[in-house]
Formats: sequence, C-alpha cells, structure tokens
Amino acid sequence: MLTNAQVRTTVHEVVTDLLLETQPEPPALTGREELHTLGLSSLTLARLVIELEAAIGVDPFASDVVISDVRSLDDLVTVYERGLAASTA
Amino acid sequence: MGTDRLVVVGDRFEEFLANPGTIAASRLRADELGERELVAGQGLSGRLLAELAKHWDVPAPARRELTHKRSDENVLIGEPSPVDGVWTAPLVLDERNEVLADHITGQHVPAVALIEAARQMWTAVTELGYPPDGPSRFVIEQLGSRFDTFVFPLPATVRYRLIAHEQGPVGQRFHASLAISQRGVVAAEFDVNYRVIAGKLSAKQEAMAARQALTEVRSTSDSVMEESRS
Repeated sequence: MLTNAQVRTTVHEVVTDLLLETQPEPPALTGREELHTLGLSSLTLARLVIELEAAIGVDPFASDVVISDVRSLDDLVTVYERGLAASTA
Repeated sequence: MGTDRLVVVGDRFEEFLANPGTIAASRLRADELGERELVAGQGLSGRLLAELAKHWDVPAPARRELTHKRSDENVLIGEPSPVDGVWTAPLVLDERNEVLADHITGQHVPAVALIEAARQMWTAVTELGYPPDGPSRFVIEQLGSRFDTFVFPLPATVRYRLIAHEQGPVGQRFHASLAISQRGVVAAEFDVNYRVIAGKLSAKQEAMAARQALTEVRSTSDSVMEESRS
C-alpha cells in the first residue's frame, strides 16, 4: 500500500504530466494551487481521475466525493489518501 | 420528357401527394409503369428503395452503424463519399423514422429531420474518414443552423466540408460546415464543432458531472430550485 507521501508524489506527478501537454513550462506545484487556476477542464479532470485510479488503485469520485468538494491540489491529495485508507480498512 | 416522370413519396406526406405527378409508395406497382421514368422522393423504406433499384437509379440508405443508429428506419442519409474534398450523400428519409413519426406539418420535411440528417452526416463522415482508435463518444460543442427555404419530399443532397481537424491528448476535434441542397439550391446550412473522445474518458467525465449535479440538487433548498425554474 502506498504511503501518504507516495500518494502526494503520485498526484503531483500525474497533474504535472497533464499540464505539460498544454504548457511547456508548468508551475512547480506546492499543493496550495486551486484546481480551477491550473486550467484543468472537466475532461482533463476525468482523465486525471482515470490515471490516478490506475496509479493508486482507488477512485474516490465513484462514490464518496464530488468534484466541488475539492478546491486545491492538497484537497485532492487528501481525498486520495482517505480513499486509499478506506479501501484497505 | 421530364413531365413524364413520376415521383414516388412516402404515404405520410399526404398533403404533398395531392400534387400532380406524385404517387404514394403504397400505391406503386412497378410492373404497371412501363417505360415511365421514376424519381424516388422522400419517405421510402430501405426495402422499397432496394426493390426500385432493380429498375431505376435510386439512392440506398447508409449502414446504420455509420450513423450511430440502432434501427434501419432511423437512418436519414445514404453512404457519404468524398468528391473534390467535399463529402456528399443523398438525403434518404424513411417515413417511419423517429423524427418524422410524430411531426409532419404541411408538405415540407421538418427542420428537426434536417438537423438529425446533418448530425448523421458528420458522424458517418468521421467514421469513414477519421475512424477513432476504439470505442468513442461524439460530443457536440457548438451547433449553428440556418434554414433558407423549404425542403420537400424530393431528392436532396447533404454535403460536409471539413474546416479544421485537430488530434489532441483527449481525442479529436472537428470544425465542419454542412449544407442540404435541393434542386441545386442550398436550403439549410449547419456549422458544427464536435469532439470524438475515448468512450472510457467521456463516460468518466459524464459520471462525475452527473454526481455533481445530483448532489447539488439534493442539497439545494426548494426556494432556490424554484428560482432556477422561473
């Protein structure tokens, strides 16, 4: 099972990879960024969720969480940390 | 001579069938026509068109999978083919199709049928000319339409011209213009932007949006919902 630090790293890496497709030099992520300021469309968010499910093994948006619950990148990391913990509880 | 031509039209276009030189599909007896020239109008089934094709030059409906329809009678166009960079197909309306079944007013083909014919045209052209890699969904981003003159249940042509095509990380994007012409005159025009997105990705986007919408409705007070309806 991934640690919380690994979950955070994974989320940041996947988001950075998606940003690289449209921005040659995406900003270094701190976690405080609001998702809407990163320029992620609803379609890109759907792709993010699919790729994170493949990397982390859970999809919190399938049952417990809706996208409006997630404002910042840190919120997104927390959602995946909780989802992973719940799946192995 | 042109005046000897007989135009066969689906029975449901009954007001148009009051015009001389027309015959309802149900009254057509091919063996009684002799050498008379026949024109296939609109409203004919694929089966009847196949029969007529044994004697006359008539269009055939496209394969239904190209138009993303499940029933043969709901296909509204023939199979598109490229001519000098423009894709062309005949309009082939079966009178039993879903958009005509409960909406014929007067003698003309309703606009809603032309809109659906245009949608089938851009879908079929994309399937033929730019086939997606796997299961996909077609998503309309913008659609503009203009109707300049009546389209009657007579032969008509649908044309598709690609304006822009872009392959992106989440699928393909298209910008196209379409026109429906009759007797050489453009009767309706469409300008469309659409995307072809991997089915799994589109389904996830839709599922997330559906849960978001449902959550908002369930947590919103009745007074706010009432306001949104007014």
